[in-house]
Amino acid sequence: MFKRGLVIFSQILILSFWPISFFLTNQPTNFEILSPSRVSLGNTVFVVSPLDYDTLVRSIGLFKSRSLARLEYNRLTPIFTKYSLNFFSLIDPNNYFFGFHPRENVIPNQNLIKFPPLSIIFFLTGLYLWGNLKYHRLIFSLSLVSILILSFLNIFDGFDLILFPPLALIIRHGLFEFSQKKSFLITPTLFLFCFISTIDLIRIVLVR
Amino acid sequence: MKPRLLVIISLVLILAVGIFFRFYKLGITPAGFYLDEAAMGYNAYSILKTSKDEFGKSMPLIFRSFLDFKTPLYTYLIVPLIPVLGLSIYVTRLPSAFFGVLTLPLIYLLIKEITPGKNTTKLALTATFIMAISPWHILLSRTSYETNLSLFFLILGIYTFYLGLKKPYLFIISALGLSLSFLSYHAERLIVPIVLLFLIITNFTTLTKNIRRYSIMVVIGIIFGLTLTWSTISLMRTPGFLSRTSTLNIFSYSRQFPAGYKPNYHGPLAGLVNSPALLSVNEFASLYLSYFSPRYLFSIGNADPKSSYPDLATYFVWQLPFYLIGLYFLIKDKKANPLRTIIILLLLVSPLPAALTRDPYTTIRSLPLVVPQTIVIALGLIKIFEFTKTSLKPFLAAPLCLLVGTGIISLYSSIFIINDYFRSYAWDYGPTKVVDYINKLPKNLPITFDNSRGESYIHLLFFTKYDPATYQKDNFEVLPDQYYTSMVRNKTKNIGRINYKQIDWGLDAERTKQYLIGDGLVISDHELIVHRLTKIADINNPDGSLALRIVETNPPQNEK
Repeated sequence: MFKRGLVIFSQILILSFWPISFFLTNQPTNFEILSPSRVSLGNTVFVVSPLDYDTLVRSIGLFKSRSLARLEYNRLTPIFTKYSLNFFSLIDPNNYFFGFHPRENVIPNQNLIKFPPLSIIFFLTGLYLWGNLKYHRLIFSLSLVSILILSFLNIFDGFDLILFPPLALIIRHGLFEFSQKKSFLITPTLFLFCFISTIDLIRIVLVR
Repeated sequence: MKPRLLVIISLVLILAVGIFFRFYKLGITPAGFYLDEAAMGYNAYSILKTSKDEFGKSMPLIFRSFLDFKTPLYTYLIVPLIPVLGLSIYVTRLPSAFFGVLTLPLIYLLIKEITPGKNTTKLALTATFIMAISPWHILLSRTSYETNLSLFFLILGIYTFYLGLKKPYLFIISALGLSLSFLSYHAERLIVPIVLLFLIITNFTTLTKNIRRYSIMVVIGIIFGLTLTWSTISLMRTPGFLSRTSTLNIFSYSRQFPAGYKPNYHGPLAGLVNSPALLSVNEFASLYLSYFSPRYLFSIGNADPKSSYPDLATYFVWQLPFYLIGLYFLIKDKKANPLRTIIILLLLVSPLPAALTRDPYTTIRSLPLVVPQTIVIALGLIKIFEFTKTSLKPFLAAPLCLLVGTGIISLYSSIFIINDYFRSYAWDYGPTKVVDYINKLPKNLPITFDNSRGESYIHLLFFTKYDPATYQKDNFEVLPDQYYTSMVRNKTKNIGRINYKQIDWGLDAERTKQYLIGDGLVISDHELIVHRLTKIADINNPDGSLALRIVETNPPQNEK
């Protein structure tokens, strides 16, 4: 009974972090995510900043052979660099469980803690037992397509909330698989998870 | 062609690629010479000439370097090279490049030794090739970092341990390798004992079964290892030895709040919300996981401009799928074998020392991680080819060759063209070039070199090959018996006619006729006008930014 209660409370914690962080940083009065600048072509990787363009031109100028330079540095270079950075950020577990890194300020709001840090244990368990997850092919396809599309955005903050359902499903799956193991360590681990994650949630709500 | 000959030719070609990327323009690229490199070079020169380091300490066990303390092996390795090749940037970087190249065949031999079943040679060759073109390993092989030396000895220790199970006398070499690794770099002081313990535990049955056969060699190995490391272990509690640990350790709160600490929150839950233990454990977990983060591994790399190449991360983007596939097979394969054991051990242990320090993703402190991650990528590649039908293999090989080719071009351009232009400032380009300008200045006037930023006195000593005995006589910083314990610094130095100190504008510009040297912040355009300074030269970085400025003072006629 106690264990079941812990599992339910763990689920509540897992499901609450990201939405709470999201609404605390995007107030309804100033819902920045829907501002014209965020939903226009200007917020895509196709718009190269003047600084990146200047670096590109200077890089090309360093090569003796112009054609070799063009092979290495061309109009696609800054676009690909930004796209790949977004892609790798979106598949980075540190992004979801630690806000990249506690001392790293990527851009405002982009490094929110999206799931309780300790829930990475359930996430990894969920991935390891991926085959047992219902509709895992569908979840994988939807996540991949979402990530590939989100990577086109210059700043994907806010829009990445669409990854919340698939990730929450994987973590929840991991939590269930974990809680069903027959080991005396399961209940204490779940208790520890609930205790520390509650403190983390308080930190997000109270001290924002 | 015979398979054996084909393997030898492949290995020679891989080594040629490895040698090229590690030795080509070694003394020129990276453009500049970082102060830690200069300190190791000059201290080696000082040891050669006087048997003492720059502070007058005879044959130190750890080298005091500014307020940092460096492991000794690298510096002592430079000493015998100087009489043969002279004191130069090339010579200072030579041990790193040399051991970087030697690590490549060692990786091949280690994989050959510990991999069971088929595809052993293919895996060994692929991993060696990936290592040969690894931006991470190349960067640290081209600069005077002790970590590269330490990695070589660590791999040597592991390899000869496994060989020792067949030929027990090799346990002595294993003990030597692990001890030298322990002595070569701070991070290995945590890694080596864990690795050794793990090697013993995982081979415990074999070791106890043949106890009579092994005992003498194991005892000799232990005595040998302890003899080599004992003097260093005895210094472990001195402030000098602990200086790095106390400054960088995330569990040390004396200098900095833990990450996530909310200083403005004093509510009833402050004890929990701002609990240093919880915050530090959280930070440790995030730092530890960052060493497996695709964002760092394949996109950003090390954020320090000295520790990565422009537009290159620690691995190439195309290696990501193979890395993931390799990890999948590593986890799914339940069979215990030495290769799997070593990969998992090094994957888990290598980031530990680095994750205890504040900086996110430092490639210098986590270098041993390059070995298991490289093998994982190679494993992924081999598995993909294993599961591909023979008729389809050319269609897989062709784009892969193209990706490897473009990767090598990117590597070349980033190391030899782009890095030197955009990042020479981080490699102390200005202080590296300043002695050429100083030598052209008339000898009748003194020089004041501003010491507000950096530790450029070491560049002056290195590039002027200043007599170490004279320097030790003219500059006192610490008594030899307080060498490992005193944290006091004297930042003012006298190097012949050069005074290395903070510029005092009233005294230095208005009362003394002399040359002043400093960066653009100290000797700005505004100071040129206010103090009527004559500009002698601007030393610019290759990207055109100002590195250092040399001016001549013009004090009023009635004052001297």
